[in-house]
Amino acid sequence: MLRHRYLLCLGALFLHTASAQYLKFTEVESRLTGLARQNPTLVKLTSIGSSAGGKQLHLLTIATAGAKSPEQRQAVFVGANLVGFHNAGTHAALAFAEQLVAQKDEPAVKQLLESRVFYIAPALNPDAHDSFFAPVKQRVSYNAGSLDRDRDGLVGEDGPNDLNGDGRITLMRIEDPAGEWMVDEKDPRVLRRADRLKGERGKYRLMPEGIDDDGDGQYNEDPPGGYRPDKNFAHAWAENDPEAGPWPSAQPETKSLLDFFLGHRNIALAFVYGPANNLLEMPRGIGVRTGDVGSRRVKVSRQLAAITGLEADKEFTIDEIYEVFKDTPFGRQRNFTKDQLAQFLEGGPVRSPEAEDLKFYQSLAADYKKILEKSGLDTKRRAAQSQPGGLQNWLYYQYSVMAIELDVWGIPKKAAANASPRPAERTAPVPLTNPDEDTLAYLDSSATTALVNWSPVNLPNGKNAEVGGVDPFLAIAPPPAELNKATAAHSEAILAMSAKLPEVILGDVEVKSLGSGIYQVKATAINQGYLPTATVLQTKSRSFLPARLEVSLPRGASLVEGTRRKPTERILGSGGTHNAQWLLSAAPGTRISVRILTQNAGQDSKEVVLP
Amino acid sequence: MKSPILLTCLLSLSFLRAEPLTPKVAPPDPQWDRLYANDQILEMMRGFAKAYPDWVKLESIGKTGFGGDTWLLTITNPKTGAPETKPAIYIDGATHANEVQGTEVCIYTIGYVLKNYGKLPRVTEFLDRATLYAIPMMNFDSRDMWFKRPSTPNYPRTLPAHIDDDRDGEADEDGYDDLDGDGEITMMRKKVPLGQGNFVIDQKDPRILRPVAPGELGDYLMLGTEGLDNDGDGQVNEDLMGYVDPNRAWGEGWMPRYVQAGSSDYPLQYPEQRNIAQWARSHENINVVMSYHNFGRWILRGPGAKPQRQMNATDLRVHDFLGKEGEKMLPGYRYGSSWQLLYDSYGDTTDHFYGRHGAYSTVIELTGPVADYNNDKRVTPEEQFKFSDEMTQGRMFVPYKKFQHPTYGEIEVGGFRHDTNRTPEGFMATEEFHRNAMFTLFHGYHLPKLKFETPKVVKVKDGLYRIHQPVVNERMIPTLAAIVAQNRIHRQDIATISGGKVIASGIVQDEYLNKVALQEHRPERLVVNGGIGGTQTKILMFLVEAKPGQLTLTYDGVKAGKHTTTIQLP
Repeated sequence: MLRHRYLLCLGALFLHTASAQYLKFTEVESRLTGLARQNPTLVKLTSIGSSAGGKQLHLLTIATAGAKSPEQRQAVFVGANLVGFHNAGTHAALAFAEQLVAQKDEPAVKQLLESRVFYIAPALNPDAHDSFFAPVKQRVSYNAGSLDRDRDGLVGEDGPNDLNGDGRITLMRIEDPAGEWMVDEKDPRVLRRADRLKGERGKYRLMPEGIDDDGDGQYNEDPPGGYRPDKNFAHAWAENDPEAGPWPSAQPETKSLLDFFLGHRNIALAFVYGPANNLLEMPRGIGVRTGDVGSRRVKVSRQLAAITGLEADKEFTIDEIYEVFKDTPFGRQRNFTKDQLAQFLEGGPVRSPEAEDLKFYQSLAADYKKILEKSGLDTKRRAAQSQPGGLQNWLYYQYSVMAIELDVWGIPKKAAANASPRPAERTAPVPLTNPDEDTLAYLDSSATTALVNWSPVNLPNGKNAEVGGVDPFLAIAPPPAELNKATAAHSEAILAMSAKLPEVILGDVEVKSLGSGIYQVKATAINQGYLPTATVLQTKSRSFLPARLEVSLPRGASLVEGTRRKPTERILGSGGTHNAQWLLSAAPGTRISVRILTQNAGQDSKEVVLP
Repeated sequence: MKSPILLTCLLSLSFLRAEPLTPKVAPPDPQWDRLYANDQILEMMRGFAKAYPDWVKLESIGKTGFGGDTWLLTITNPKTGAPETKPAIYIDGATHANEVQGTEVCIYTIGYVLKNYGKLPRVTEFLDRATLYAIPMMNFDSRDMWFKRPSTPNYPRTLPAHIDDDRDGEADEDGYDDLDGDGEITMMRKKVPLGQGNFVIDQKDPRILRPVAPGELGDYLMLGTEGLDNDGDGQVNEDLMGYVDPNRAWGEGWMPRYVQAGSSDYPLQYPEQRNIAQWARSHENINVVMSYHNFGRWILRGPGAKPQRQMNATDLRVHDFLGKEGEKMLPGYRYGSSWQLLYDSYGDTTDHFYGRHGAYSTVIELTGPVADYNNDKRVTPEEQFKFSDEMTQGRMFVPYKKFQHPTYGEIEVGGFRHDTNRTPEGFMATEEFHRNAMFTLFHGYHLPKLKFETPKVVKVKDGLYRIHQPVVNERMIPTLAAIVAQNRIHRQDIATISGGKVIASGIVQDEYLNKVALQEHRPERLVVNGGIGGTQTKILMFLVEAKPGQLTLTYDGVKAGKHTTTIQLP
């Protein structure tokens, strides 16, 4: 069971010295401009859209001239800081771009730059980006604009207030016998909820540092600003969270990203620098239903009854319905799988990663951890799950590519053997709501100045309160030395994973004359890369075109049977194949061509002259 | 009369004085026994705006996929308040482009209210206290194609968008083809040697193919809709324009394509829907949405799919009232949720405007089977031809003609015209348009209508007054749908006082036992949680520091308008 505890602070007043290393949005812009200007053939700087506040969503396209144009090459996407307060991610994405440029002549990098294309967008929430540098620091995720967050008819009327003037929004406690919070007897820094069952009494009310500006009894519930683009994607979108947007994809940052991805189907692997880490903690899915799909019971609707002949409004198992449904014209025509039927009947898309896809996540995680450990970075630390309604979830569940969110850095695991078990929560842990053993140890050893002492303040209503807590960026913004170490390791890891993209080629095209101008042509496509040409999820979502093995015949030649195009949804990596054969009628000496086409796993073609 | 001067009273006075409108130029007065193409409809919309420039505003709220516009009409009495300050109804038509006659229902409704203002008290009241928004041609470009290009009763239905349905790398490359050049897409059938077919010609009517009976040999094949294998992939008509379904890609309950066909890549990806959704965000005064489709005579509310959360029970009561009255006003129509009456579908119009806007939203499926002579709920080919031959003198059917098909050889092409079966025959159209317009006005009648009853004013002591102000909603639609609070859609209704300092406020729970639910914070902004239900009263309590004289109480509802009353302090 989790104990809800808050930190009481004893440390000295602290200003985040790491700021010097982090870049403001305008500084990011000038670094990007500089990189593009100094490397005009290698780096292209464009924009995929504007933020709600009218700032550019910058995109670097990095590739050197090679056999294929960049649009035809498999692409790696690296995007950062859509959440707005993950400035470490911006640093890492920018460092990766600069490293690609700096190492462009090293063989491994050179080969990637010639055969792949890198799309790098280091600052995806420009309106929120600079909250890290604001005179009063707090985590901000919302874009510019206005939103009546508390739905009281007044807009942005109750933001936080820096009562103790320390440049940070922390916490505030008010002594009150009705309060639920008490000082923890083991660690006086920590406030925890009193357990009345054990006879404990609360001493404090606890709230964020601020004034109830609008007098509605809530503190800081309606700060100025717009929506959260990082919560505005369609997978597991929170429909009754005003910050998540009026509907999925409504925010300009979100929509720009969606349109970018949908317009760049060559992307095979996507990295999202954000508060979660999918390689230290495997993605667990959101709203997952457990158990065997087929044995679940559902009521048959009128229409399904009309299609299947089953009795309307009666319950059947999905297995039973599928048995009948798959043989109906409707079921055959759309080639429905049992999973798809279940998804339609039970109201939902896939909610947890496909088991086969998870194996690849695990395999990439193993390599990733080795690289981190080599750099002396902790791989046993806590890591959050990706945000519902967030970019990583959309990329995996709907766009359907391998998508990996990485937090770059997190509070290291406490060295002592008696460390507490990991909590099971799935969203980003804000340290103050859960000051676990790791955080306490980190504060003791490495961030002693991050604590803000409780200090008395007078509230406008005449009451006395105390303000204190920890720096809002404690758990997400490492000190400069750590940051540089972590970003270097991540650049190395992304480079290593970029070498694992699928790559289809055509194997031998066998031609056999059967006599009388009839030929048998056999072709094999081979995936030379490590990753399959599609995730298993993609074979369900069908969000990309299938891999197509096709033959082109000149005038005068024709197929004896069937069609010239043989598609498959997925070719496994490490030598996986897809085969096709055709029977042709053609004159000797006819030149035919065979091609394997994919959107994001490469393409290849061969010409053959019939004997 | 010492009671407060009521805005609603003023409005009633204005009803007495209301005169029929004098058009600046002759307003459109079309015949309602036919369907109209987009340019004719647009001409009518412009005509209304020209004839009644102060009352009718015509504007484009955005471009559509293939270069058209989303045309919006806003209609209200300008003297009784701006459109956004009044409760409102939004109507639209031709969401599915082939379901064209929803457009006519919208135009009929508009013409009717403008013509009858000042003549019929209920119409007068409607335009005085409410706003009518109409987008008669939601799916503008595709509706235009249905009229101008060869089409079928079912096509085009999609939004104008190029989607690679058969996933071969090319989009919309194998659509229907008007093989015989008669301007209609009909059906293809082929005579084959006996034993190779699975149909035979009906003995009584050679236009009818019937499936072979057991033990019978067939000599006809049904080859489907008129078309070619344009891309030579061995399939015919497998990649038509689209498909993006404008009633499956809204923002509430949206599901990806592999769960819901036609849902596009993300909610509101295409401009026809996004224009309307964006516009509606700044028109939260909309209480009712009615979207006209065809076919089958249904009055459909959400949820669109069974697995979705059921409708809020309080709101369901309101919907049930409106829908069941609709069954009486529209003979043959049945009311219910779309998944129960039809089928599961995600991302519907009704779910979007209910869940995202808090509007009571209905899809009306216009027109039903007319040739069901024996009332067995199905129309046989025999019945269909009987109706066509006798009631339309054969207009509905294009006789089979021979055609040399590049893939199938000699075939026969023929079948029912595109403007049959799903759309009403001219002689039946007027009544259906009228009844549906009246159903919209029935919703209009039941838009929240607030009345301040005589307040109870008690002088507690010098300079301190306790006011109990009853506010009645005289009609069936609440001032605020319950889903608004549940989904946190927008603010609740708020009551304020000017002319004094509010010390305490609350909602009276029991007038006689002196029970008041006090509002702990900000008593000067009294939040009326849940608004005022249909035909219900809430009594607002204010404890006010003021001098003898007058106070003004304002009741401000996003969906009920702003209403003020003056209270005399003794």
